[in-house]
Amino acid sequence: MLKDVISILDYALFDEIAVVLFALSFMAIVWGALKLRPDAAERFSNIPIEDHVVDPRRGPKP
Amino acid sequence: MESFSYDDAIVRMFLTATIVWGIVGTLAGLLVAVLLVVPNLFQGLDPEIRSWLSFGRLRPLHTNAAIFAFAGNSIFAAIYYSTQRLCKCRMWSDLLGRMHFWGWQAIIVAAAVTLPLGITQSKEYAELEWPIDLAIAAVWLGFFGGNFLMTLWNRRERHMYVALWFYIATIVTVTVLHVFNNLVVPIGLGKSYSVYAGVQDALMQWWYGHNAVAFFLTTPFLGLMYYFLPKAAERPVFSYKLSIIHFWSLVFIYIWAGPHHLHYTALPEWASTFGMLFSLMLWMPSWGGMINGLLTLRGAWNKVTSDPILKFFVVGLTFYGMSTFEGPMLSIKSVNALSHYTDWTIAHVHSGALGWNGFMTFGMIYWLMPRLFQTKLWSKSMAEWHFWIGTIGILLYVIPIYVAGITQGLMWRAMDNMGRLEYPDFVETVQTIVPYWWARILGGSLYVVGLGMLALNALMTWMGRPAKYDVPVYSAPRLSKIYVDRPIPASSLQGKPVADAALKIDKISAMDWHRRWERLPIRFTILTTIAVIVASLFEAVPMFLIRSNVPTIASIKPYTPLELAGRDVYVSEGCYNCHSQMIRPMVAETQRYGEYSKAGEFIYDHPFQWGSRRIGPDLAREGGKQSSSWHWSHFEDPHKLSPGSIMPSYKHLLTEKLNFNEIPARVQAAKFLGAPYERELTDSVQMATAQAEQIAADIIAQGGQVKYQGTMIKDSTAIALIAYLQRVGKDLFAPVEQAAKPQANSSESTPATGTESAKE
Repeated sequence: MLKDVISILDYALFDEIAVVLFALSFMAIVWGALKLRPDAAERFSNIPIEDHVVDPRRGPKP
Repeated sequence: MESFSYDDAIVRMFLTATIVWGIVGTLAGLLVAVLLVVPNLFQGLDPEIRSWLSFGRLRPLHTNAAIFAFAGNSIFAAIYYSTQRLCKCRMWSDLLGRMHFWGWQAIIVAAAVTLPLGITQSKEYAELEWPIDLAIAAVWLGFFGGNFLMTLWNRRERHMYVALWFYIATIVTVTVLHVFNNLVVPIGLGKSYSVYAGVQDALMQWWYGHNAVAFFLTTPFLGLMYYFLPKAAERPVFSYKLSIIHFWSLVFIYIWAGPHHLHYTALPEWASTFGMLFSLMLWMPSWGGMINGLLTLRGAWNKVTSDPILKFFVVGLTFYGMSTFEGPMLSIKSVNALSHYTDWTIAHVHSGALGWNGFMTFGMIYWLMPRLFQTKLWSKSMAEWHFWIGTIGILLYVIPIYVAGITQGLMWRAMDNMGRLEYPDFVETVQTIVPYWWARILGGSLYVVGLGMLALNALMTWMGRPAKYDVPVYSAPRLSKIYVDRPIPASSLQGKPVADAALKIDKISAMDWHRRWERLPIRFTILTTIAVIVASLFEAVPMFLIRSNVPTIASIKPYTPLELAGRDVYVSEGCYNCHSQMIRPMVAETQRYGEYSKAGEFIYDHPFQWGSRRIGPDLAREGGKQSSSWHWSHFEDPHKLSPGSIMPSYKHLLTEKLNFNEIPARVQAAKFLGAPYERELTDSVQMATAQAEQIAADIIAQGGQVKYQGTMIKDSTAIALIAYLQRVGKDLFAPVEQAAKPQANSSESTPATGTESAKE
C-alpha cells in the first residue's frame, strides 16, 4: 500500500510545492503579525525591560 | 504571589567557559593560519607528535572550538540568564544545569583530544565520532533542552517573548540536524561509516552544515540580540511585529538553503537551484532582523559613542547584515562558480563568526559582568580598547582574505588566447596568496589580543566581587490555569449583511490563534519542529527516492579492502580540509583536473569526501596520475617534488604500521551499507596484504627501498593510502567487463565505459 503511494508520487513537483507552502505560510505569518494589536505589541516588547532585575547591588530600577 | 530567586551561578560558569574557550578557539585558529604560511613549523618534532599538529587535524579543532565551545557556551550563558528573567522563574533544575555545563565541557575536551588523534567522521562541523555524538544528544536535548522546556512550562510570564521562540527553534532544530546527519554504522569506539553515501551524504551534510550556521550561530544569537540589546539600550525592540516575521521567515527558509553549498557538483540541478532560491529569499528576513536591532537604538545613538557595550552590539549587527547579504549573494550560481573552494568562503565565514557571533558575545559579556559579579566593571576603557582592536583585527583579517579568495578564483579559471590554462601549476596560485595569509595572521592576532583584554577585565572584575553574592528574591503570581485574554475587538462585519463564512474568515484572520500559540510552549515547540521537519523532508525525500538523481555507472565497483583502509587514513588525516574530490563541469576545471565528477561515482563513499576548499589541488581524478613511488616520496617531503607546495610532510605514514586485522570489520560495515563484497568478506586480510605487496613491489621497482626507517614499506599506512589514491576517479574509465567481474553475466549487457544509466 505504502509502496504504491510512494511510487505514484511525483517528486519532481516537490520543489514547486515547497515554494507554494512557504509562500502560504509566509503570507499567513505576515498577516498575523500585522494584525497584532498595538497595545499587545507594546506589552510584549516591554517584557525584557520590565523584569526588574538590573543591578542586584543597587536594587531594581525605579 | 510566589517568591523566587535566579540561578546566576550557572550563568557565571558558562560566561567563564565562553572566555576560556574563546581564547583557545582563536589561538587554534591562529595556529592553523600560521601552519599555512610556515608548513614546517613543527619540523623538529617527532613525526608522530607532528601528525597531531597538522593542518588537516587542527583545522576541525579550531572550527569545533569556535562554534561549539566559544559560541556554544556563549549562547548557554545568554539563554540561562535571559530565560529566567523572561519567564520570571528560576531554571527548572539546578542539577540539570550543572550536568549540562560539565557535560558540555567534557564533550569539548573529548573533541580536543580525539580530533588531533585523527578520530573523525570528516564531515565538516560534525567531525566528532559517534560516542561523543551520543553524549552531545544526551547533554543537548536531555539536560539542556529538558531543563529549558520545563522552565518554560513553569514560567510566571504569560506571553513567551520572541527571544524564547528563537531559543526553542535552536533546541529542536539542532537536535534534528545532529541526529539525522550523524546516523552511522559504528566499527569501533573511534570509527564509523556514515549510513549515507556520496551525493546523498553530501546533501545531508550540507543540510546540517548550513543549518548549524543557522540554528547554532544565528537563531540563538538573535534571541540574545532581542533580549540584551533592549536591555543595554534601555528601550524596547523597535518592532515586535517585525520580530515575529523575522522569526518565522528564518525558520521556514533557512532549512531549505543548504544545497547552495553544492552548486555545480554532482548534486542534481533541481536541488541546487532550490537551495539558491531559498538562500536569496533569506536576505530579506535577515535584514529585517538587523534593521529591527539597529532601530531599537532610535533616540539612543548618543549612548553608542560612550558605551562600549552598544558599540559591540552595533558592529555585531552590522556584520550580521553584511554576512546575510553576502551569503545569499554567494549562493547565486554564477558568483558561486568563482567563490566556491576559494578563501572567499573563509572570509565570509569569519566576518560572520568574528563580527556577528564574537561581538554580540562580547557586548553581552560586558553587560553581564557587573551584574553577575555584582561590582563595577574593572576597566571601561579597556573594554573600549577591546572594541577598537577587535574591529581593526576583523577588518585586517577579512579584507586580505577576500582579496585572496577572489584572486584564487580568477587564477584558477584564467585561460589564454589558445584556450589553455594561464596558471596550470596549482602551486603558483597558492604562492600568490601567501602574502594575504600573512596579513590575516596580523588581523587574527589583534582579535586574540582583544580577547586577552576581555579575559583580564573579567578576571579583575571577578577579583572585585563581594565576599558573598547577593541573591535578590522576587515575587510574582503563578500563572492561572485558565487564562482569559483581553477581549478581541468585534469584527467590523458584525451585524452587516454578509455570509456566515465571511464572518468566520474575518475571525480567523484576526490571528488570535497565533497569540494563543505564543503562550503555549509545548504547542509552539511542536509547530516549530513540524515546520523544520516538513521543510527538510521536501528536500530529502526526492533526493533519496528519485533514482535518476544518482545514475548507475556500470564500471563503478567498491573499494578493495586495502583501498578501504587507505580511505580511512585519508579521512583520519583530514585531507578533505585542503583537497576537494569534486570536479565541476567547467572548462577550467576539466582542463586542470580531468573529466567532471558524476553522481554515480560516489555510491560507495561513506562518507563523501568532496571537501569545501582547495588549499591543494582537487584529487577526484588522482588515480593513476602519478606513480606509487611519487606518492611515497611526496608524503616524505612534498617540497622535493612540488617546490613551493605548502603541504606538510606526512613522514609518520611511512613508518606507522597498518593494522591489517582491523580491515575485516571495515569490510563488513561497507557490506552492510551496500558494497557487493563476496570474497572480501572472508579473505580481506589476505587480499589487502597481496595488494600492499604489489604496490610495495612497484615502489621498489621504481627505485624505492624495501624498508623505511625499520618498517617494511608493504606494512606501512602509506601503502594503504597510496592504494586508495591510485584508485580515486579511475573506475569511470575502467572497461566494464573487468570492473564488473563479480557479476560477469550481467556485464555483457551493460553500457560502454563510463556511461551513466538512470534506473527509474
